[in-house]
Amino acid sequence: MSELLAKVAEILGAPETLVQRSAEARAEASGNTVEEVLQSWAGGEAIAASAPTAEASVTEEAPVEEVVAEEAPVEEVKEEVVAEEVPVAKSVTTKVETVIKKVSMANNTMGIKLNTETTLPRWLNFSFMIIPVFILIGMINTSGAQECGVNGILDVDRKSQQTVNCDGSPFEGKGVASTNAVNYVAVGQQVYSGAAACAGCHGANGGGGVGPSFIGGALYKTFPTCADHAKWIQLGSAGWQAEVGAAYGAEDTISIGGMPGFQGKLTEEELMAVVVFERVVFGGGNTEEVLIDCGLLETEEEEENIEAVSTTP
Amino acid sequence: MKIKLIPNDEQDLSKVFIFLLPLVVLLSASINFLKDAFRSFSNVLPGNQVLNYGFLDKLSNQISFNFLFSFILVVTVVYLLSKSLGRSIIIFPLFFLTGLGLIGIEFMDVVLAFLSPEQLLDLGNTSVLLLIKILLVGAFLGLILLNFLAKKEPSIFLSSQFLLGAVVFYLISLLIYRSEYTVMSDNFFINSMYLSTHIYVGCSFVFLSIFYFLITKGMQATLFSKTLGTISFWGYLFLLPWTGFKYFYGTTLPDWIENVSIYLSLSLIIPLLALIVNYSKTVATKENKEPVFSILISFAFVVFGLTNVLQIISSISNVTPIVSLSNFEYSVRYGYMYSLILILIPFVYHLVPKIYGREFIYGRLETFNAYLLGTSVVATLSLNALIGINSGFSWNAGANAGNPTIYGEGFLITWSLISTPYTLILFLSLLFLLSTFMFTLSTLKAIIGGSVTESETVSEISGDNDE
Repeated sequence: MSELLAKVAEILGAPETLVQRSAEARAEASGNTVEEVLQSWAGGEAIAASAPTAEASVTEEAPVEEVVAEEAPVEEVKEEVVAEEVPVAKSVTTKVETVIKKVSMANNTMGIKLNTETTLPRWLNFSFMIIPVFILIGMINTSGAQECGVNGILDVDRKSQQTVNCDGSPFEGKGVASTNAVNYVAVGQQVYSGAAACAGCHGANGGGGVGPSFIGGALYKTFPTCADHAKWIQLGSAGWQAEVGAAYGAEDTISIGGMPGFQGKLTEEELMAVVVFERVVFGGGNTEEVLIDCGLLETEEEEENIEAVSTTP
Repeated sequence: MKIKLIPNDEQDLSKVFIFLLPLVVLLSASINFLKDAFRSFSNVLPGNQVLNYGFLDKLSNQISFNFLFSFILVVTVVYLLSKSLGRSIIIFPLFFLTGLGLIGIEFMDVVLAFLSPEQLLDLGNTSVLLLIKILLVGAFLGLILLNFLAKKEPSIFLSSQFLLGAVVFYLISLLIYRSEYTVMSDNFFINSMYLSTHIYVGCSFVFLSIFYFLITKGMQATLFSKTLGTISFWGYLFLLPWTGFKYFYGTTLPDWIENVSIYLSLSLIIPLLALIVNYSKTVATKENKEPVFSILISFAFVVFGLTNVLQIISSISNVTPIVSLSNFEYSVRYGYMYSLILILIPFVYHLVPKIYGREFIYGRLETFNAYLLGTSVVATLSLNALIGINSGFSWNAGANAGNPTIYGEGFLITWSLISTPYTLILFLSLLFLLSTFMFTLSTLKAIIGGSVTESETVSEISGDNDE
């Protein structure tokens, strides 16, 4: 039996397991034994005894009897019967080929079979086409978010961690008077990303995260004046509750705790610098106006007054 | 039972590994349980330089994500590579030594952690051994590539593709890893890249390698589509390395990289769909009717699928800010690792008769253990996701009111929301430990006392490479 199986497998050029399965299926359908089926595939007799074929040959034998009276045509009829057998054998071979076509070996060593006549479901093909398109559109739409230059956003030099203009040149603050010794925006940026770690909660670009967002006008809505802003950073939520009250900011936001106070942790200059930095870079304020609001730059009128006072005897 | 300490071929080596593997899984589960115990009950437990949550957390990461991972990777390569390439491993002595060295160096990191706890970094590695690891993984990759070049099978089976991918990304992750950072954003960036390449890609690829082997050879089923397998391979290869950045949303990482991460994480639906269809259609033709074996594979697949779904959910624009910088990422990290451990169990059960020639009988213990493992893992992942959402909501609620709750009193509010799930996780860790113990018992019982059956021999296709 196994030799016969091996022979058939060799003739058909298919794995023995598949030939065995096909033979079993054929035998079950035809009512023959597996061995008979294998013999017929190995080049022996065709399966004339299979149930449907037998019926067919019986019906076709009827005319034989009719012709018996005329002896000569008997042979012709016999030929016809033989001729009928050929398609049976053919159909067996075709069926075997069909089974074999469907499955091939994905890995011979492990005997892993692969379905070679796979058609993927339409919905799956459709999904594979449509999903990447949506993803691509989404990526394009969000790719421009918070670019350098938008809402006053500046760039940060990764090595020096200094605030720089979008073209990479050093940022010296818009309209900062040359007499102003401290570049509050640059110092503020350093404090924001470094010492005070504000960026950890409020985001490198002030977009928020664990802490609230500063961009899109949010900062000026809460703190229209520099003084309130500075006081909030100085006291933190706990200090604010103790000293000022439960609500903070122009919109009377209820303080429930969380913002750390930086009094004593930052110098006065650093604290004011971070306020200026946030108001200029994230709030979009004019540097000179912000510095004036924070009391870090005197207006021309004030300067004149000071000069007038100083020159008064 | 005869185990050679100096193996002659991959079959001998697999014998050693299959014997040791359950013990390594047990070690990992034990440290994980201890870590969880110290997180919830540190105030009543004795503490010292080693017995504290911070150290145990790092140690658990080292054992699970590095030592256990490298062990599973080497075991899988040793067994599956030769089979799927149709030849016995070439330059086997060198291959054996490199594999052993790789496992050894990861174990050395565990030992070193006890000697100098301060050397152990957050994700387990120490900078001392990092260079040697890189050299060993590089050599291992080189040997695998040599075997690929000398293959005798006409085509490369999916399992080998995934294994090669896993080793390549293992090497990439080690090259990325740094111990010291000068800039905050570098820390986030490198941590995220390491998580994605080492854990997300590494664990997924080893999982998928074993998975494709088990659903075809193990279940005696016909693989539905190689195309879908290839889609899942390239899909995961391109998408997974990018998925970690979204968990640092709103931090000092550049916005573009966070957005790319979000959209590429959403794209994970493509390889996941391919995998689901391939799995369901392949399994429909299975001839192996052993229910426990199928259940274990199904549980592993469910956990892997669930992890992918968590990745996709956390990329929805309204959800990302809530789950970023929270424990939600833990459920993803552990999801990949747990799916790997879950698929390992039927893999070992399948290999015991083949390697040792001992019959493996699926009794009541194995059935009970399969359900216990599956449910404890799924529940742990769900609880970690819940903790992530709870803490994220709490922080965001505080932030919207102008008061982030990660400090002081606010943190206590957050802790009250997440402490109960943490205690439940501790209980589930105990169940997981129990399951791994039962798995060790089942395996050792079969190896030592199973009835003798026909074992597999090293087979090689005659002739040259067909391609």
